[in-house]
Amino acid sequence: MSKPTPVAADSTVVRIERLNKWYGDYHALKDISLTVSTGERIVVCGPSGSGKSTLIRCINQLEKHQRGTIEVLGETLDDNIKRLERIRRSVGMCFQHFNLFPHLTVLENCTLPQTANLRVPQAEAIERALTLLDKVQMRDHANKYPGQLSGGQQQRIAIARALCMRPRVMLFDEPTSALDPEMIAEVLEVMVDLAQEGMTMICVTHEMGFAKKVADRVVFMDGGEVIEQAPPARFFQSPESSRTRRFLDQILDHGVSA
Amino acid sequence: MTTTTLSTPTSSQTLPPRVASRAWRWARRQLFPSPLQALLSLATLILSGWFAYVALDWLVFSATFVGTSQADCTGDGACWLPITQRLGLFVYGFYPETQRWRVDIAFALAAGVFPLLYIKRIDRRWTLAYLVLLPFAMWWLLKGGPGLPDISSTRFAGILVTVFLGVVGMVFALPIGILLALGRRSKKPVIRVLSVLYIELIRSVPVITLLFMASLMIQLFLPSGWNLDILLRVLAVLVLFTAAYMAETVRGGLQGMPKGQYEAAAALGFSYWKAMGLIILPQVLRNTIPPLLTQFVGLFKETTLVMVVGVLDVVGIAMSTTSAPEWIGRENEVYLFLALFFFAICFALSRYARYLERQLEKSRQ
Repeated sequence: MSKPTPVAADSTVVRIERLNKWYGDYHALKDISLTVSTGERIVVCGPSGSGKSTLIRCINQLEKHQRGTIEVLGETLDDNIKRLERIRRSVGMCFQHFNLFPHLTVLENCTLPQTANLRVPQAEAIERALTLLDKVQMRDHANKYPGQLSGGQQQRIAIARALCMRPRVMLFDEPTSALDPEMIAEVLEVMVDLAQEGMTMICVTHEMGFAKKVADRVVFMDGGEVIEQAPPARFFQSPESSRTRRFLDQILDHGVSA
Repeated sequence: MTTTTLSTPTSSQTLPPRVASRAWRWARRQLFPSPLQALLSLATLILSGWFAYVALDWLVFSATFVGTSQADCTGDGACWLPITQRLGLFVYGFYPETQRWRVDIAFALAAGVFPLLYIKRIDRRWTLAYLVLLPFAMWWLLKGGPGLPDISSTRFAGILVTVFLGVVGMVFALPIGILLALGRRSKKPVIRVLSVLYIELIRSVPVITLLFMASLMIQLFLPSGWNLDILLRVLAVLVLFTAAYMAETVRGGLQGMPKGQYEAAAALGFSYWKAMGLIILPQVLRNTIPPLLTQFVGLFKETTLVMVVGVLDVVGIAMSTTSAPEWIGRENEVYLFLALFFFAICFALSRYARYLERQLEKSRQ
């Protein structure tokens, strides 16, 4: 378990090929192919219902896909639950609603996954948790319960909790969508720091300012398909597809970007 | 609600002049707002005072506590001699007198659960270990085994049986109920169907029927020569019966958990059992403490049903007392004693439930 997962020769972290997913008869993801290399920062955007959350949730199999292959850290995802659990330990995830464990303190939220799933000794787990809580400026709140903290604070703790597992890639599923406007900045700041340290990241977000600042590639999805993917400069200046243009017009007009 | 109304008289001790007048104001507002209401209040007060006097007089002042036989019951009030004279029988049943210390230790071990549950500083793992070992320790002490002479379970009776069935039933019913609840929500069809069948079957049969089946039918299925202790058979029925009800309570709690908790646990690489044991169930059990304790109280009272299959619990001893020729005509006292006994224990349990709820409210703030 402590053995590092072998890195694919081309340092590909996530490789998705012809991914298809249906909810009943509804075709949620259509023939999606996407490759993410080590250190790459991907921003996935698109109108609601476009399948971007579904896509990111397929990467750690919170949603099961029906057709196509997903390879994470060189291993193909299938029904092998033990392998999936091992892969999930290397894939950090942050949710829209934080999903901290309310019955545990902030510190325990960060140490329990380490001690239970990575068999890290308690002292070492605490040390790592405190270092990361310090990094997201939540060390002073280590002994509080999540219910006592604001949304922005909870989300920063959720990021620290995910980082405690020493993930090789971080998935963000609309991490700022449930936050009050004044708290969005503090969370984005942490994410920018993380990006600048070279963490491989896949972010579903509407924060176009964040995309411009840190993304290596912006992926635009609509109707369950990837319409366009390009570096932010080209994506925002000269989008190829008319659907992308329409989306950008709408989202930038309303001043959502930071 | 009760605490707020009760706090008025208690705080009067700290601030006598002001609060005394406040109590008076309260009485005026609540008891004597109008002449008619005042009349009603007065009548009620007098009536309840009279009733309290009569009851206390019968129960205590004119009652007989000392004596050896029915002939000593000379007072106008209750005669507690059938209880005091047969207290040994009530508590220990027909347990050999020289071995009664074993029962005492078993009771002490059972009573030890309460401080363990109240004191927060004790590591939860110790409490858990204590609870797991308790039934086995009690069985070993009461029934005998390595190092202790064997006592026939026909000698088990009275409070000894009631406490044994109650405590051991509670310790086993909850974990089985949890497993059934998880089984009912399992993705594996076989496990799910079996759990549903079990829960629905048990819940639609009266417990008394199950007890008769346990006392008569289990023998049919055991290989000849085998004999499962009748005490264990009725215990199994009580456990399996309560577990089915607890399973439904726990299932409700599981369904009430936000999906995000399951997802966060999965995303962090928790396995099914670790996620359940460390993340989901601790939260579910906290939320379902009040209904679960209600079921514990129910289980404790249902132990009295074992009488119908010939196991003499405390009610059985009470009935044998009322029909004994030397104590004939003393049913009132005996049944009142029974009621008080059950009230004391069940009330303690529900107070504990209330205490846990308050702790929970505090931690939610």
